[in-house]
Amino acid sequence: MTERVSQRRVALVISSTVVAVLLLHYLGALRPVERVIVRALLPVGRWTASWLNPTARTSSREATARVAALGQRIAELNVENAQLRSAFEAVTEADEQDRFLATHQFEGVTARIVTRSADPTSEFITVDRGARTGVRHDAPAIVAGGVIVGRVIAVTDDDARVLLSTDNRSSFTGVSLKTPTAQGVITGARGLSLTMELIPQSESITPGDIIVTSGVDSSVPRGLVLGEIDRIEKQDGALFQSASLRPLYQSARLDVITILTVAR
Amino acid sequence: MRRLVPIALLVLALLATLFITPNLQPRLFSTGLLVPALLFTLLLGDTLLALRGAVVSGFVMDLFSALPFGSHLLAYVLTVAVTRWIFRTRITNRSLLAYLSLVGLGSLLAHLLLLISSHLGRLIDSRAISVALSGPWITFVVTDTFRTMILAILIYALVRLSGRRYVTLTAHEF
Repeated sequence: MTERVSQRRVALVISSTVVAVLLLHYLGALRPVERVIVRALLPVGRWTASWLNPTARTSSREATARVAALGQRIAELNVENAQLRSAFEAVTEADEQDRFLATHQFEGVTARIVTRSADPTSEFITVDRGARTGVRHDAPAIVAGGVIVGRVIAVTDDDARVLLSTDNRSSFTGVSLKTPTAQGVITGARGLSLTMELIPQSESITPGDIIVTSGVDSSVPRGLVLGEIDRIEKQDGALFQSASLRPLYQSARLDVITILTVAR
Repeated sequence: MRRLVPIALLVLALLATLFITPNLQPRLFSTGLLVPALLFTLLLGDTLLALRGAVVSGFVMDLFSALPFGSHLLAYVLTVAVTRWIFRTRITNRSLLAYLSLVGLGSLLAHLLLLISSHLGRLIDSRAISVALSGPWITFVVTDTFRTMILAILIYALVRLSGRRYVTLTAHEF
Protein backbone atom coordinates (compact mmCIF):
# COMPACT_ATOMS: atom_id res chain seq x y z
CA MET A 1 0.00 0.00 0.00
CA THR A 2 2.78 2.39 0.98
CA GLU A 3 4.66 1.43 -2.17
CA ARG A 4 1.64 2.15 -4.33
CA VAL A 5 1.13 5.54 -2.68
CA SER A 6 4.79 6.37 -3.23
CA GLN A 7 4.57 5.35 -6.87
CA ARG A 8 1.49 7.51 -7.37
CA ARG A 9 3.19 10.43 -5.67
CA VAL A 10 6.23 10.14 -7.94
CA ALA A 11 4.02 9.81 -11.03
CA LEU A 12 2.05 12.87 -9.95
CA VAL A 13 5.16 14.94 -9.28
CA ILE A 14 6.80 14.04 -12.57
CA SER A 15 3.68 14.53 -14.69
CA SER A 16 2.97 17.85 -12.94
CA THR A 17 6.54 18.94 -13.62
CA VAL A 18 6.25 18.08 -17.30
CA VAL A 19 2.93 19.88 -17.67
CA ALA A 20 4.24 22.89 -15.75
CA VAL A 21 7.38 23.10 -17.89
CA LEU A 22 5.36 22.93 -21.12
CA LEU A 23 2.84 25.48 -19.90
CA LEU A 24 5.47 27.90 -18.64
CA HIS A 25 7.44 27.61 -21.88
CA TYR A 26 4.51 28.44 -24.11
CA LEU A 27 3.51 31.28 -21.81
CA GLY A 28 7.05 32.63 -22.07
CA ALA A 29 7.71 32.47 -18.35
CA LEU A 30 10.68 30.14 -18.77
CA ARG A 31 12.45 32.38 -21.24
CA PRO A 32 15.05 33.69 -18.74
CA VAL A 33 15.98 30.16 -17.69
CA GLU A 34 16.14 28.97 -21.29
CA ARG A 35 18.29 31.95 -22.20
CA VAL A 36 20.78 31.15 -19.44
CA ILE A 37 21.03 27.50 -20.49
CA VAL A 38 21.42 28.32 -24.18
CA ARG A 39 24.04 31.01 -23.52
CA ALA A 40 25.95 28.62 -21.30
CA LEU A 41 25.95 25.83 -23.88
CA LEU A 42 26.50 27.86 -27.07
CA PRO A 43 30.27 28.24 -26.50
CA VAL A 44 30.51 24.47 -25.97
CA GLY A 45 28.70 23.90 -29.24
CA ARG A 46 30.80 26.42 -31.12
CA TRP A 47 34.04 24.90 -29.84
CA THR A 48 32.91 21.33 -30.57
CA ALA A 49 31.68 22.19 -34.07
CA SER A 50 34.99 23.92 -34.85
CA TRP A 51 37.00 21.01 -33.53
CA LEU A 52 35.02 18.38 -35.43
CA ASN A 53 34.59 20.29 -38.68
CA PRO A 54 37.92 20.41 -40.57
CA THR A 55 36.81 23.35 -42.69
CA ALA A 56 36.12 25.33 -39.52
CA ARG A 57 39.72 25.26 -38.30
CA THR A 58 40.46 28.71 -39.58
CA SER A 59 42.23 31.53 -37.87
CA SER A 60 40.25 34.58 -36.84
CA ARG A 61 41.98 36.52 -39.65
CA GLU A 62 40.66 34.07 -42.24
CA ALA A 63 37.22 34.21 -40.66
CA THR A 64 37.26 38.01 -40.86
CA ALA A 65 38.30 37.82 -44.50
CA ARG A 66 35.44 35.45 -45.26
CA VAL A 67 32.97 37.76 -43.54
CA ALA A 68 34.25 40.64 -45.63
CA ALA A 69 33.92 38.55 -48.79
CA LEU A 70 30.34 37.68 -47.88
CA GLY A 71 29.55 41.34 -47.35
CA GLN A 72 30.94 42.16 -50.75
CA ARG A 73 28.91 39.36 -52.30
CA ILE A 74 25.72 40.77 -50.75
CA ALA A 75 26.51 44.10 -52.39
CA GLU A 76 27.04 42.34 -55.74
CA LEU A 77 23.73 40.53 -55.32
CA ASN A 78 21.97 43.83 -54.81
CA VAL A 79 23.37 45.04 -58.12
CA GLU A 80 22.45 41.79 -59.82
CA ASN A 81 18.92 42.03 -58.41
CA ALA A 82 18.58 45.49 -59.87
CA GLN A 83 19.77 44.21 -63.27
CA LEU A 84 17.38 41.25 -63.16
CA ARG A 85 14.58 43.59 -62.24
CA SER A 86 15.18 45.75 -65.27
CA ALA A 87 15.22 42.66 -67.48
CA PHE A 88 11.74 41.72 -66.24
CA GLU A 89 10.14 45.11 -66.84
CA ALA A 90 7.78 43.71 -69.48
CA VAL A 91 6.40 41.13 -67.05
CA THR A 92 3.15 42.01 -65.25
CA GLU A 93 4.46 41.25 -61.72
CA ALA A 94 7.38 43.68 -62.17
CA ASP A 95 5.36 46.39 -60.40
CA GLU A 96 4.97 44.08 -57.39
CA GLN A 97 8.70 43.43 -57.38
CA ASP A 98 9.44 47.16 -57.50
CA ARG A 99 7.13 47.70 -54.55
CA PHE A 100 8.85 44.87 -52.65
CA LEU A 101 12.34 46.20 -53.28
CA ALA A 102 11.28 49.75 -52.45
CA THR A 103 9.71 48.84 -49.12
CA HIS A 104 12.24 46.20 -47.95
CA GLN A 105 15.94 46.43 -47.33
CA PHE A 106 18.13 43.58 -46.22
CA GLU A 107 21.40 43.23 -44.43
CA GLY A 108 23.36 40.15 -43.43
CA VAL A 109 24.03 38.75 -39.96
CA THR A 110 26.97 36.35 -39.83
CA ALA A 111 26.25 33.27 -37.76
CA ARG A 112 28.29 30.29 -36.73
CA ILE A 113 26.90 26.78 -36.66
CA VAL A 114 26.64 25.41 -33.14
CA THR A 115 25.06 22.04 -33.76
CA ARG A 116 23.04 20.08 -36.26
CA SER A 117 19.91 17.99 -35.97
CA ALA A 118 20.47 14.91 -33.84
CA ASP A 119 18.18 13.02 -36.21
CA PRO A 120 20.00 12.47 -39.54
CA THR A 121 16.68 12.30 -41.42
CA SER A 122 16.19 15.98 -40.56
CA GLU A 123 18.43 18.60 -42.10
CA PHE A 124 18.56 21.61 -39.87
CA ILE A 125 21.36 23.49 -38.13
CA THR A 126 21.44 25.63 -35.01
CA VAL A 127 23.35 28.90 -35.26
CA ASP A 128 24.52 31.31 -32.59
CA ARG A 129 22.58 34.39 -33.70
CA GLY A 130 19.01 35.12 -32.76
CA ALA A 131 16.36 37.81 -32.54
CA ARG A 132 18.64 40.16 -30.62
CA THR A 133 20.84 40.52 -33.72
CA GLY A 134 17.94 40.92 -36.15
CA VAL A 135 17.32 37.32 -37.20
CA ARG A 136 13.69 36.77 -38.12
CA HIS A 137 11.53 33.76 -38.82
CA ASP A 138 11.59 32.71 -42.51
CA ALA A 139 14.75 34.73 -43.21
CA PRO A 140 16.96 33.13 -45.88
CA ALA A 141 20.46 31.95 -45.03
CA ILE A 142 23.26 32.12 -47.58
CA VAL A 143 26.93 31.27 -47.95
CA ALA A 144 29.64 32.64 -50.24
CA GLY A 145 28.55 33.16 -53.82
CA GLY A 146 24.99 34.05 -52.83
CA VAL A 147 24.10 30.38 -52.53
CA ILE A 148 21.00 29.97 -50.39
CA VAL A 149 21.36 27.10 -47.93
CA GLY A 150 18.01 27.33 -46.18
CA ARG A 151 15.70 29.50 -44.16
CA VAL A 152 15.10 30.23 -40.47
CA ILE A 153 12.29 28.11 -39.01
CA ALA A 154 12.72 28.88 -35.31
CA VAL A 155 14.37 31.77 -33.53
CA THR A 156 14.99 32.69 -29.91
CA ASP A 157 16.82 35.68 -28.47
CA ASP A 158 20.25 34.08 -28.85
CA ASP A 159 20.02 31.34 -31.45
CA ALA A 160 18.09 30.19 -34.47
CA ARG A 161 17.29 27.00 -36.29
CA VAL A 162 17.83 26.97 -40.08
CA LEU A 163 16.10 24.32 -42.18
CA LEU A 164 18.48 23.42 -44.99
CA SER A 165 17.21 23.47 -48.58
CA THR A 166 17.97 19.74 -48.95
CA ASP A 167 15.46 18.77 -46.24
CA ASN A 168 12.24 17.17 -47.53
CA ARG A 169 10.18 19.86 -45.80
CA SER A 170 12.04 22.75 -47.40
CA SER A 171 10.39 24.58 -50.29
CA PHE A 172 11.39 27.53 -52.50
CA THR A 173 10.15 28.93 -55.79
CA GLY A 174 12.89 29.16 -58.36
CA VAL A 175 13.61 30.20 -61.90
CA SER A 176 16.32 29.34 -64.41
CA LEU A 177 18.92 32.08 -64.75
CA LYS A 178 19.26 31.31 -68.46
CA THR A 179 15.55 30.87 -69.20
CA PRO A 180 13.65 33.27 -66.91
CA THR A 181 10.27 31.84 -67.87
CA ALA A 182 11.22 28.36 -66.67
CA GLN A 183 9.87 28.56 -63.11
CA GLY A 184 9.17 25.79 -60.67
CA VAL A 185 8.98 24.68 -57.06
CA ILE A 186 12.20 23.44 -55.48
CA THR A 187 12.04 20.99 -52.61
CA GLY A 188 14.68 19.06 -50.75
CA ALA A 189 15.29 15.40 -51.50
CA ARG A 190 16.37 13.31 -48.50
CA GLY A 191 19.16 15.62 -47.45
CA LEU A 192 21.20 14.97 -50.58
CA SER A 193 19.82 16.94 -53.48
CA LEU A 194 17.00 19.18 -54.67
CA THR A 195 14.02 18.52 -56.90
CA MET A 196 12.45 21.15 -59.14
CA GLU A 197 8.90 20.38 -60.14
CA LEU A 198 6.00 21.98 -61.99
CA ILE A 199 8.27 23.34 -64.73
CA PRO A 200 6.11 24.00 -67.79
CA GLN A 201 6.81 21.35 -70.43
CA SER A 202 7.20 24.06 -73.06
CA GLU A 203 10.22 25.63 -71.32
CA SER A 204 13.67 24.59 -72.44
CA ILE A 205 16.10 23.76 -69.64
CA THR A 206 19.37 21.90 -69.88
CA PRO A 207 21.73 20.20 -67.40
CA GLY A 208 24.12 22.78 -66.01
CA ASP A 209 21.52 25.57 -65.84
CA ILE A 210 21.69 27.58 -62.63
CA ILE A 211 18.43 27.89 -60.72
CA VAL A 212 17.91 30.98 -58.55
CA THR A 213 15.11 32.13 -56.24
CA SER A 214 12.31 33.78 -58.15
CA GLY A 215 11.35 36.38 -55.55
CA VAL A 216 7.73 35.17 -55.41
CA ASP A 217 8.22 34.39 -51.73
CA SER A 218 8.18 37.76 -49.97
CA SER A 219 10.79 36.75 -47.40
CA VAL A 220 13.33 35.46 -49.97
CA PRO A 221 14.73 37.98 -52.44
CA ARG A 222 15.21 37.11 -56.07
CA GLY A 223 18.55 35.96 -57.36
CA LEU A 224 19.86 33.71 -54.59
CA VAL A 225 21.39 30.57 -56.08
CA LEU A 226 19.52 27.35 -55.29
CA GLY A 227 21.43 24.83 -57.35
CA GLU A 228 22.47 23.50 -60.72
CA ILE A 229 20.35 21.23 -62.91
CA ASP A 230 21.76 17.74 -62.89
CA ARG A 231 19.08 15.67 -64.64
CA ILE A 232 15.79 16.42 -66.39
CA GLU A 233 12.70 14.20 -66.36
CA LYS A 234 10.21 14.70 -69.16
CA GLN A 235 7.20 12.67 -70.08
CA ASP A 236 5.46 12.99 -73.43
CA GLY A 237 2.03 14.50 -73.08
CA ALA A 238 2.58 15.73 -69.54
CA LEU A 239 1.94 19.36 -68.68
CA PHE A 240 5.04 19.71 -66.53
CA GLN A 241 8.58 18.44 -66.41
CA SER A 242 10.82 18.06 -63.40
CA ALA A 243 14.53 18.24 -62.75
CA SER A 244 16.99 17.04 -60.19
CA LEU A 245 19.29 19.79 -58.89
CA ARG A 246 22.72 19.58 -57.37
CA PRO A 247 23.05 21.93 -54.39
CA LEU A 248 26.13 24.13 -54.56
CA TYR A 249 27.08 23.66 -50.93
CA GLN A 250 27.95 20.72 -48.73
CA SER A 251 25.89 20.65 -45.55
CA ALA A 252 28.51 18.65 -43.67
CA ARG A 253 31.10 21.37 -44.33
CA LEU A 254 28.95 24.36 -43.38
CA ASP A 255 30.52 26.45 -40.68
CA VAL A 256 29.67 30.13 -41.10
CA ILE A 257 26.53 31.37 -42.83
CA THR A 258 24.89 34.74 -43.34
CA ILE A 259 21.25 35.23 -42.48
CA LEU A 260 19.60 38.00 -44.44
CA THR A 261 17.59 40.35 -42.26
CA VAL A 262 14.81 42.80 -43.04
CA ALA A 263 15.23 46.33 -41.75
CA ARG A 264 12.25 47.68 -39.98
CA MET B 1 28.74 9.13 -4.35
CA ARG B 2 26.40 6.38 -5.52
CA ARG B 3 24.64 8.77 -7.84
CA LEU B 4 27.78 10.32 -9.25
CA VAL B 5 28.32 7.75 -12.01
CA PRO B 6 24.79 7.85 -13.45
CA ILE B 7 24.67 11.66 -13.22
CA ALA B 8 28.03 11.96 -14.99
CA LEU B 9 26.88 9.47 -17.60
CA LEU B 10 23.69 11.43 -18.22
CA VAL B 11 25.51 14.75 -18.54
CA LEU B 12 28.07 13.28 -20.95
CA ALA B 13 25.36 11.55 -22.99
CA LEU B 14 23.41 14.80 -23.25
CA LEU B 15 26.41 16.89 -24.34
CA ALA B 16 27.49 14.22 -26.81
CA THR B 17 24.00 13.97 -28.32
CA LEU B 18 23.75 17.74 -28.62
CA PHE B 19 27.16 18.66 -29.93
CA ILE B 20 29.31 15.67 -30.87
CA THR B 21 27.38 12.95 -32.67
CA PRO B 22 25.49 15.31 -35.05
CA ASN B 23 28.82 16.69 -36.27
CA LEU B 24 30.39 13.32 -36.92
CA GLN B 25 30.48 11.98 -40.46
CA PRO B 26 29.00 9.46 -41.01
CA ARG B 27 26.29 10.03 -38.43
CA LEU B 28 26.55 7.77 -35.41
CA PHE B 29 24.10 7.42 -32.54
CA SER B 30 21.26 9.82 -32.27
CA THR B 31 18.86 9.45 -29.40
CA GLY B 32 20.77 6.21 -28.89
CA LEU B 33 23.14 7.86 -26.41
CA LEU B 34 20.58 9.33 -24.05
CA VAL B 35 18.22 6.33 -23.99
CA PRO B 36 20.79 3.75 -22.76
CA ALA B 37 22.09 6.32 -20.25
CA LEU B 38 18.57 6.87 -18.86
CA LEU B 39 17.77 3.13 -18.82
CA PHE B 40 21.13 2.35 -17.22
CA THR B 41 20.22 4.76 -14.44
CA LEU B 42 16.79 3.16 -14.17
CA LEU B 43 18.17 -0.36 -13.97
CA LEU B 44 20.65 0.67 -11.30
CA GLY B 45 17.57 1.16 -9.17
CA ASP B 46 17.35 4.94 -9.21
CA THR B 47 13.97 5.54 -10.83
CA LEU B 48 13.70 9.08 -9.53
CA LEU B 49 17.07 10.06 -10.97
CA ALA B 50 16.16 8.46 -14.29
CA LEU B 51 12.90 10.41 -14.44
CA ARG B 52 14.57 13.66 -13.39
CA GLY B 53 17.29 12.99 -15.97
CA ALA B 54 14.61 12.44 -18.59
CA VAL B 55 12.97 15.77 -17.72
CA VAL B 56 16.23 17.73 -17.75
CA SER B 57 17.73 16.11 -20.85
CA GLY B 58 14.43 16.36 -22.71
CA PHE B 59 14.14 20.04 -21.78
CA VAL B 60 17.67 20.85 -22.95
CA MET B 61 17.28 18.83 -26.17
CA ASP B 62 14.08 20.75 -26.93
CA LEU B 63 15.95 24.06 -26.54
CA PHE B 64 18.27 23.11 -29.42
CA SER B 65 15.72 21.35 -31.58
CA ALA B 66 13.49 22.52 -34.41
CA LEU B 67 10.78 20.12 -33.32
CA PRO B 68 7.90 21.53 -31.25
CA PHE B 69 9.00 22.28 -27.72
CA GLY B 70 8.20 19.39 -25.45
CA SER B 71 8.70 16.64 -28.04
CA HIS B 72 11.92 15.30 -26.50
CA LEU B 73 10.69 15.98 -22.96
CA LEU B 74 7.57 13.88 -23.40
CA ALA B 75 9.37 11.18 -25.37
CA TYR B 76 12.10 10.61 -22.76
CA VAL B 77 9.83 10.77 -19.71
CA LEU B 78 7.32 8.36 -21.21
CA THR B 79 10.11 6.02 -22.37
CA VAL B 80 11.51 5.81 -18.84
CA ALA B 81 8.04 5.39 -17.32
CA VAL B 82 6.95 2.64 -19.72
CA THR B 83 10.29 0.84 -19.53
CA ARG B 84 10.12 0.92 -15.75
CA TRP B 85 6.65 -0.59 -15.84
CA ILE B 86 7.85 -3.37 -18.15
CA PHE B 87 10.88 -3.97 -15.95
CA ARG B 88 8.69 -4.27 -12.86
CA THR B 89 5.96 -6.43 -14.31
CA ARG B 90 7.53 -8.48 -17.10
CA ILE B 91 11.26 -8.89 -16.47
CA THR B 92 12.10 -11.53 -13.89
CA ASN B 93 15.89 -11.64 -14.12
CA ARG B 94 18.87 -9.38 -14.47
CA SER B 95 20.52 -11.05 -17.40
CA LEU B 96 22.21 -9.32 -20.33
CA LEU B 97 19.36 -10.46 -22.58
CA ALA B 98 16.78 -8.81 -20.32
CA TYR B 99 18.79 -5.59 -20.28
CA LEU B 100 19.26 -5.63 -24.05
CA SER B 101 15.57 -6.26 -24.60
CA LEU B 102 14.71 -3.28 -22.42
CA VAL B 103 17.24 -1.04 -24.16
CA GLY B 104 16.09 -2.08 -27.62
CA LEU B 105 12.47 -1.56 -26.69
CA GLY B 106 13.30 1.75 -25.02
CA SER B 107 15.10 3.00 -28.12
CA LEU B 108 12.23 2.07 -30.43
CA LEU B 109 9.76 3.62 -28.00
CA ALA B 110 11.75 6.86 -27.75
CA HIS B 111 11.80 7.28 -31.54
CA LEU B 112 8.10 6.46 -31.87
CA LEU B 113 7.15 8.82 -29.05
CA LEU B 114 9.27 11.57 -30.61
CA LEU B 115 7.40 11.07 -33.89
CA ILE B 116 4.01 11.25 -32.18
CA SER B 117 4.83 14.14 -29.84
CA SER B 118 6.35 16.21 -32.67
CA HIS B 119 3.16 15.85 -34.72
CA LEU B 120 1.00 16.66 -31.70
CA GLY B 121 3.22 19.63 -30.89
CA ARG B 122 2.62 21.10 -34.33
CA LEU B 123 -1.01 21.59 -33.30
CA ILE B 124 0.34 24.23 -30.87
CA ASP B 125 3.34 25.48 -32.82
CA SER B 126 2.59 25.14 -36.54
CA ARG B 127 5.86 26.80 -37.54
CA ALA B 128 7.95 24.01 -36.05
CA ILE B 129 8.78 20.94 -38.09
CA SER B 130 7.80 17.41 -37.15
CA VAL B 131 9.55 14.09 -37.59
CA ALA B 132 8.65 12.78 -41.04
CA LEU B 133 7.39 9.21 -41.17
CA SER B 134 9.25 7.85 -44.19
CA GLY B 135 11.32 4.94 -45.42
CA PRO B 136 14.64 6.58 -44.46
CA TRP B 137 13.25 7.35 -40.99
CA ILE B 138 12.27 3.72 -40.44
CA THR B 139 15.69 2.58 -41.64
CA PHE B 140 17.34 5.08 -39.32
CA VAL B 141 15.26 3.95 -36.31
CA VAL B 142 16.12 0.30 -36.86
CA THR B 143 19.85 0.95 -37.32
CA ASP B 144 19.94 3.38 -34.40
CA THR B 145 18.25 0.80 -32.15
CA PHE B 146 20.82 -1.78 -33.22
CA ARG B 147 23.68 0.64 -32.47
CA THR B 148 22.08 1.50 -29.13
CA MET B 149 22.00 -2.16 -28.15
CA ILE B 150 25.69 -2.53 -29.00
CA LEU B 151 26.43 0.49 -26.81
CA ALA B 152 24.32 -1.08 -24.06
CA ILE B 153 26.48 -4.22 -24.20
CA LEU B 154 29.56 -2.07 -23.64
CA ILE B 155 27.95 -0.32 -20.68
CA TYR B 156 26.83 -3.65 -19.24
CA ALA B 157 30.34 -5.09 -19.61
CA LEU B 158 31.91 -2.03 -17.96
CA VAL B 159 29.50 -2.19 -15.05
CA ARG B 160 30.07 -5.91 -14.52
CA LEU B 161 33.82 -5.37 -14.62
CA SER B 162 33.56 -2.67 -12.00
CA GLY B 163 31.64 -5.06 -9.75
CA ARG B 164 28.36 -3.10 -9.62
CA ARG B 165 25.11 -5.02 -9.54
CA TYR B 166 21.72 -4.18 -10.93
CA VAL B 167 19.01 -4.19 -8.29
CA THR B 168 15.38 -5.07 -8.62
CA LEU B 169 12.99 -2.23 -7.99
CA THR B 170 11.61 -2.16 -4.49
CA ALA B 171 9.55 0.25 -2.48
CA HIS B 172 12.51 1.76 -0.68
CA GLU B 173 13.85 3.16 -3.94
CA PHE B 174 11.25 5.92 -3.68
